[in-house]
Amino acid sequence: MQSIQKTIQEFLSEDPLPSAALDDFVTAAAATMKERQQDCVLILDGSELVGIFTERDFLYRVTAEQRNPAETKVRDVMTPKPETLRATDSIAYAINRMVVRGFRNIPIVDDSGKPVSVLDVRDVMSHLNEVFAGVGEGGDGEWDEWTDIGGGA
Amino acid sequence: MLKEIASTPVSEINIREPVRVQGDAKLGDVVANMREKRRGAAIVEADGKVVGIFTERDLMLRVDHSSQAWRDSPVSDVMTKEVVLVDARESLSVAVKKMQSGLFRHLPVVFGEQRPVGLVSIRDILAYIAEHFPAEFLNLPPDPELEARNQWGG
Repeated sequence: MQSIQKTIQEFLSEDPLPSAALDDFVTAAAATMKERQQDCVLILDGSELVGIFTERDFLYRVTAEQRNPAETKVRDVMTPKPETLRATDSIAYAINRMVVRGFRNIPIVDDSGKPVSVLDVRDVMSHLNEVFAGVGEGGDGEWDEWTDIGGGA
Repeated sequence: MLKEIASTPVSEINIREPVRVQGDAKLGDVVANMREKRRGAAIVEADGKVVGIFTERDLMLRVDHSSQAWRDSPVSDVMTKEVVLVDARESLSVAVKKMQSGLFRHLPVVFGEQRPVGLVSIRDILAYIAEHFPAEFLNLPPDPELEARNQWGG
């Protein structure tokens, strides 16, 4: 039984962490998301991860509830205590959460729980695209690496 | 196996019914519709063809939220007009390639001459793959840390 070769680490970009503070207004968080071309910002209390604010939160909790983003603090509309993974975890766990839970962004933390990056579903998409592109060039080796994490355990 | 998956037509995927609106639909109504149907994007149609797409990202970045006036403006003002489409008969590898080309999470699915039949997301594609590799993707324990530490070593 073979374990998957790829860890989340291999999918992460080196872009700076998109973040906002609890008392930042939504407009500031949105500006950061635009500038960094990210779908989310991690909400930090000091260096502690306390929430995540996504485009979906903007739709569901800001506009749909008729809040003014310039007067709404992210603490009031963020998703608190987001699920996290570590860079050393298998990418299969991230894909599992993206499929089953619908997460498009997963905060990645170090062993002390400090956020170090965000895994975007697009990072997985890029890899899938490379895997598919490799089909024409022969072999299923890459695919085996990607999918075989030892099912049947 | 990889070739089978890569060449699977998009029509094999469980394509979800999209939010479909006309260009003159008010943004406030479009957003309410997206929220109600839990969709991240709406297809904008004219004469039965796709003329635009409006996503959560457009809502956040292109709409002026400084007043509530945006709710009455037409979706055509802020939609993306250059829409990348995928035909239901095209393969998953083509769909993923198109998504990757613009880093799109959603593609309107058409059949023939731009007639929209659905909206496919990268999540839908990952879900399809997971469904065909259930042991690999879905039979995971709920806690990866326990998995990593107890069963798989590390």
